[in-house]
Amino acid sequence: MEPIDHVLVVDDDAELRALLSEYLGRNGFRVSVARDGREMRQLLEHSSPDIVVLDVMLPGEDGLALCRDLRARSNLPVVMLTARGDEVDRIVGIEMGADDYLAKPFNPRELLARMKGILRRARSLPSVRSEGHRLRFAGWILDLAARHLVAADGVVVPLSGTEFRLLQIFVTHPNRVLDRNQLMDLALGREATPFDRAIDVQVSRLRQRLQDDAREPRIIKTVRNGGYVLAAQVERID
Amino acid sequence: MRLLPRSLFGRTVLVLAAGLLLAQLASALVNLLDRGSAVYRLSAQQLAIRIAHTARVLNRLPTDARAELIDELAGTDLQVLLSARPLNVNEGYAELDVYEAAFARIVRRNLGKPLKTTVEITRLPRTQRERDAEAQTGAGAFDLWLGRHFYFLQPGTFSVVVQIALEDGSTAVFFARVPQERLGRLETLAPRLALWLAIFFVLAVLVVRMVTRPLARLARGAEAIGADSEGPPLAEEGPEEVRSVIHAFNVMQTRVRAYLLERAELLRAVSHDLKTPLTRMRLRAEMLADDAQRDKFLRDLAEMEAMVGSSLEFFRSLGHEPRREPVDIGALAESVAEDWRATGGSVELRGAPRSPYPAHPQALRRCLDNLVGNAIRYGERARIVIDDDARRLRIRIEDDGPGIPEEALERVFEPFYRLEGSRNRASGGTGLGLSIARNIARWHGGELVLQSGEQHKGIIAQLTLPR
Repeated sequence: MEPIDHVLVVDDDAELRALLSEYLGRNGFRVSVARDGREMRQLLEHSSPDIVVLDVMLPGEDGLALCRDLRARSNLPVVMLTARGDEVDRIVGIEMGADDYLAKPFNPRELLARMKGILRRARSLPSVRSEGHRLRFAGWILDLAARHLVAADGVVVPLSGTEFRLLQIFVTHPNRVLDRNQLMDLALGREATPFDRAIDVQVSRLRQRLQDDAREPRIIKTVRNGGYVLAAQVERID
Repeated sequence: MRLLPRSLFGRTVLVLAAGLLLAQLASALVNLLDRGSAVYRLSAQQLAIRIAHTARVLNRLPTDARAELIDELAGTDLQVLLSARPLNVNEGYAELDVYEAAFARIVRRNLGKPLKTTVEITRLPRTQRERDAEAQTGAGAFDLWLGRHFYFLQPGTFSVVVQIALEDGSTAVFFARVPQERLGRLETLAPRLALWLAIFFVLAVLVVRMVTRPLARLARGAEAIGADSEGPPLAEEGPEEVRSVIHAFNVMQTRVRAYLLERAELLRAVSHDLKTPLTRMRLRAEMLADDAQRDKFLRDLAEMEAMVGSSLEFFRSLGHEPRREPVDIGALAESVAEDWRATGGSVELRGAPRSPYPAHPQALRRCLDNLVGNAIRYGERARIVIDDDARRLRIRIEDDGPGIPEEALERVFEPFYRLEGSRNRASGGTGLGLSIARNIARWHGGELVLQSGEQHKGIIAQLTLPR
């Protein structure tokens, strides 16, 4: 039996706070709530939640500043909520080090799934995090906010949802062998069945996008009986 | 029938040409009247003096010597004969009595002796045929009127008959033919008129160009506003009057734009403010105990969310000139296709682009995504066909659905326009997808149109982007 996860919800809307608290409580979380940054800090002094759900629009110090502050002090995962669904917000949110970003009105089940995903990843694959929303590797840039690749000559290469998630996992865990089950779970959100080639299909697509030769790949290498590994230095740029 | 030409150019040329013609006619008339009478007077005076002198000589010569002189004098314009009695010439016009008297006065003054002199001026019918015609019809009333009042304009000659009683009792009769100023002058006027007209035509072209060029620009500007209310104001050029029209137009454009922005801002704010209550409702619905109720709630909510979401997307798509980056269109189409396949859609991809296209990647993806989504939703499956050449990039999204009536092909781009039947809210559309897609196409300087497929089967959404 997994330990009960402790979530801290920071939102200035009292009703939403109460509803989230009830919903997450029903779904197996221990929930604390705070209405602004001050309350959040007080709570953090004598408890240590596993994850924070943080609204961007808060009275006083806003969510983005709080997120940056949290990030500076710990590896505590953060999911940001915002009512402004635009790209700028997402860029800033990811810049400030949020692990995920949901636009209101979000589907509560989606929030639940993302939180679980983040917690699972945090436990199984601790990744190095720092500020910046663009990652440079092997001459390519992955833009985490825009969710696309940029080639060395500046050409934007759009990615499908699955391609992006898979590549995101690779670039946040460079030079580390990731087996098919891990990839399946994190990128496709399901368990691999025996002889399941779904991940291999996705990896070969990704190689095609990265113009990586399938017979002699240089970027995403195949590990016999293991899985795949991103063989490249990853560098954060802003 | 329209007498006035449609265009300003046509009207200007017409007015100028008509004015020119009238002015020329008037001056020709004045010229002819003036000149006609002057010439007439001069030649008449000379003729009178000549007749008087001849009469003087004849009077002095002995009778047998006269014949010789008469032979000598015989010409085309003056003939002399001697008669025992005065001839009866009575065809003159009463109006000419003044001229006859004047002519007679000059003759008498130059005779030196008081000889009895009578003068008759008659008009000679020009040709035998005309004479016959006049005899038949009794000379047309108009002809007669013209002859009486504008005798000097008539092409025929006049004949002056002067009879002078000599001292020996015989009468010398002079027939003089006065050549008329020819009306044929008008004919020599024709080439001159043509030249003038040509010059006026060129001038009219220049003048009208000066006026119409800024007007045409204004018209284009007004049209462009329909497609893009963000366009820059029109340059205030051209003549004063046109400039003031353009100015008024620019003021109007600014006001319309402010109004549109205000309205968009209001709707955007409303849509935005709906987000928090919608989030709360979502959570409440998730926690409803009754599964059937919850599912209904969630469906309604999903619909409301979709509308709020696409309204905001729509206002965003009205936004400004996008920041462009070269985009791999092949990868873009594949990623859209892949995402739809992941949710069970059937998408086929044909063709490949020649080179990356400068676009706003997220916006163009949204545009394509909306079109492919429509094709899958209403047309079972989607075919993305990329057709690229040096001038434009064309992306067609075809489906195999029932299609839509020809007359609705353009209307479906209107925000919230819905077709009866299959295209209703239950099928998941919000009525903004195509408007958003077209806005994005236009941002990129391109166009999006819908066409019926071959044999009216399915729909083809054609996105054309200029290279």
